[in-house]
Formats: sequence, structure tokens, C-alpha cells
Amino acid sequence: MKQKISRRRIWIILSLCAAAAFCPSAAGAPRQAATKIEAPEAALLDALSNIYEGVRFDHELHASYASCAECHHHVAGLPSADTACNSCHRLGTSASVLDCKSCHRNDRFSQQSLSEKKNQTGYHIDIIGLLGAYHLNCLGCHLSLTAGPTGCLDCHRRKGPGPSTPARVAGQEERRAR
Amino acid sequence: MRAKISRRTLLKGLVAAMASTISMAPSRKSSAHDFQGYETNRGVLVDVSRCVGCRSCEVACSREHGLAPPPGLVDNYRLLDQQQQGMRRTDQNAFTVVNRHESPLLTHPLFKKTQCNHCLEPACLTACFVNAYTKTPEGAVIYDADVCVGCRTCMVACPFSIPAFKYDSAFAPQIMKCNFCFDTRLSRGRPPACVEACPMEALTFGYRNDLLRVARKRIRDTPGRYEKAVYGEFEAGGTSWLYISPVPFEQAGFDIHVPRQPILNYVKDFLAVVPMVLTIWPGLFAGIYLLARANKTHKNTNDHEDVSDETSER
Repeated sequence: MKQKISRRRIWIILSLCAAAAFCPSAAGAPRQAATKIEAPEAALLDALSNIYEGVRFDHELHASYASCAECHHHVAGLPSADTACNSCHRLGTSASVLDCKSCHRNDRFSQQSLSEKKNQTGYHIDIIGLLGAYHLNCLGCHLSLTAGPTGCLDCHRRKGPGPSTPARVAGQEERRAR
Repeated sequence: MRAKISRRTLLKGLVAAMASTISMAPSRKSSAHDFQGYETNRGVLVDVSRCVGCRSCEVACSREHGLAPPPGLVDNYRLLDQQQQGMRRTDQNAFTVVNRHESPLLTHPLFKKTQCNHCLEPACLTACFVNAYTKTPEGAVIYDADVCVGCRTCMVACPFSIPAFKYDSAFAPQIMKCNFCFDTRLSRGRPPACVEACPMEALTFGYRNDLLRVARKRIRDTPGRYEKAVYGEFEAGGTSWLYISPVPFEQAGFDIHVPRQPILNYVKDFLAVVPMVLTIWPGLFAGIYLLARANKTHKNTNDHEDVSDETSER
């Protein structure tokens, strides 16, 4: 009995350690930025990398184009610019959180989040997942301003040689030349 | 003397049988009329304004079902350029296709994904006379090739022209259509492969009733961004796949002439008469024939007996 409990404790400690080790490195902007208000120069957006490698995001460059709130919805310490969030989250700790995945969840299709979604009537009925938040935010701007890369391989590098990688790359370069 | 049915009892019987079938028919019709779909009916909300035409859904679908890979380069838009001659449609190698549509109201093109809409009251299912189609409580409309006789009535019946036929298979021809990934995913509560692959989250998976709420929320929260309607809420009696679009639906490649009631409703009145035809008509016409023949034989053989018969009846 005694042994059992201690083993469980070890597991809990181990998983906490793992979570602590992975969370800040996987997130786009590190949590520290929220308190220090020091924007990172670049970020590796790789929380979702599956068939594509993570995106090397030039944060400094983008910060020179747009205000922080245009992508983050709010600046650290200030309430969100999104009125939908604002009505409840004006106060509290959520205003200090800047990384995308603290609101836009990464586990859209896990059993837990699918069952949570059922018969939901509140405000959280339609929060975009992390994958959609990244792509809608980046591509939304790049397409509407007709500036910045819009093709898959313009931002991502494929993990390993895909079945049609040379042809894909050729098509990509051709399109870029046009 | 052989036992004879008198004319009066025969007519009485016929009238009674006719009346009973006619009175039964309307009650049967109304019992199936108000089907609003299963409570557990899953669906997908397609936000046409979000799709960028990357065709990841096509790739994911072909992988999931072991179909031929989609033609053209997925990250090359040239295939979509070719579509000026005509839209691609679902076929035996593609359960889903993405087409590009130009709207005069927008400066950028729109992309619309096409696949089986998994109607609440599917026309293909009701048209199939061997019951090869099943509407599962999860919402999927699935097809059983073992039962199918290959009549292809479902292809004619479908208002969205979705089912395709495997013509090039000589020995195992069958209908090919999206099955909502029922076997591999939906039956375990997981979303179909296309939804999981969509990087723009243009596809949202959930319960149909919840998705209608999500669709209305998006329309309400972002005024001017969407048409104030959800395609699929009423079309063909309601579909599991729902769509919201930034332009009028006909400009985004939707068929707006699809009726707002199940296709079955158009033939329900006729179909209700079929059992009556099958049960009443044989008796009715056999009776008329027998009467006519009886009269004829009586006249021919014995006029005297015929007269006495008639007088006794009176």
C-alpha cells in the first residue's frame, strides 16, 4: 500500500516536471514576456508540428508592421481588444497571458474537449483551436494585404521527404517566380 | 350447385377494403413527416470564408479510404485554375473535392468543399429498394456494397449529385461515396479525417444542433461577414453538413434550387397509394372479371337459371 502511493507520487512529480519543461519551449511567445513586456526577437511555432516542421516566426519584423493587439488581442496587462472576451475577462489573470495556446486549445479532438462541447450554450461555444488560430491569423493578414508568404511550403518545411516532394518544391518555386 | 359469391357481398367487401386502405394511408404519411433527425446526429460546419483551397482535406480523405491520391499538386493552385471549364465533382477516386468560385462581390476567390452532406432524410436511402443505405444515429449515411444490386437509382435521387459508381471494376462494381469516416472514426466519436486535416479550421465538427448555434453565433457576432442563412439547415429536409458563406450561396457554388423538404416528400403521396394498388387492385379486378364472366356464362348456358337467380337476389 505504502509503496503504491509513493509510486503514484513519483509519477505526478515526473509529469509535472515534463509539463514544466515542455510548456514554455513549445509556446510561441514565452510566458515571461507577459510580465517583463519584452517581446522576443523570434519564436519557433512548433507546438503542432506533425508532417511539417515548426515555423520560424520573425517576431521583431512583424512587430514593426502591426501593433501587438492585432495578433495577441491584447497587450500584457491590458484587457483584450476583443469585445467578446472583454465582457468577462476584463479583470483577472487572463489579461496577463499572451501565448496563443492558453486560450486556443491544442486538443480540439480529444475525447474530453469533444464531450465538453456538447450542448454548450455559453460564450466558449466557438473558440478557434490553436491550429486555426495560427493559420487564420497569419494567412488572414497575408492574403488580405497580398503581402507575405501564403503557400504551405513558404512557411513550413516538410518533415522528411514526402512522396511528391521534388514536384511540390518545383511547383512552389514556379509559383514564386510568377 | 357450386358456392357462389353474390354480387352484393363482393361489392360490399371491395368497398370496405378500399375504405380501410384509404383511411390507413394518411396516418402512415404523417407519422414519418416530422422527422427532425437524431439527437446524436453529428455534423460539420463549413465556413466557406475561411477555406484557402489548400486541399489538405482531399489528401486526408484519400489516405483514410485508400483511394488514389488527388490529382495535381496539392500546394499548387493550377488544378483549381483549370476549373474554369467546369467544376470537379465527387467520383470513385475522390469522396471530396474542393472547387474554386469567383464572386463579383469579392476581390479574392472562394473555395467550396463538396462531399456527401449526410441528409437527415436521405434521398439515396429512400430511393434504394434493397436497403443498401443506412442512416446511423451518429448521422452518417453509409452504404453496404454486399446488398447493392447496382441499379444506381441513388445517383439519380441525390439532390447534390454525390454518389459515384465504380464503373471500371468489372467484377466488384459499387457505389463510392463519403461515409463520414463512419467505420474508422465517427463510430468512436472522432471527427472525420478531412476535419482533422483542415489547417484553417474551416471545418468544425460537433453535434448538428450545437453547430447550428455556432453558425448563428458567427453570423451574429461578425455582422456583414456572412450571409444570414445556414445552407443545410433546411435544404433537402436538413443535412448534417452545414455551410455559412460570405456571399449569396449561388455565387459560392451551392445549388439553391434544392427543395427545403426531404426529397421523399415528393413521392410520399404516390408511395402511400402503392400498397393499396397492390392489395386492392388484384381483388377488385379479379372480382369484376369473375362477375363479368359469371354473367356471360349464365346467359350462354341457361337463361332460365339466370332469371331465377336474379329474382331470388331481389
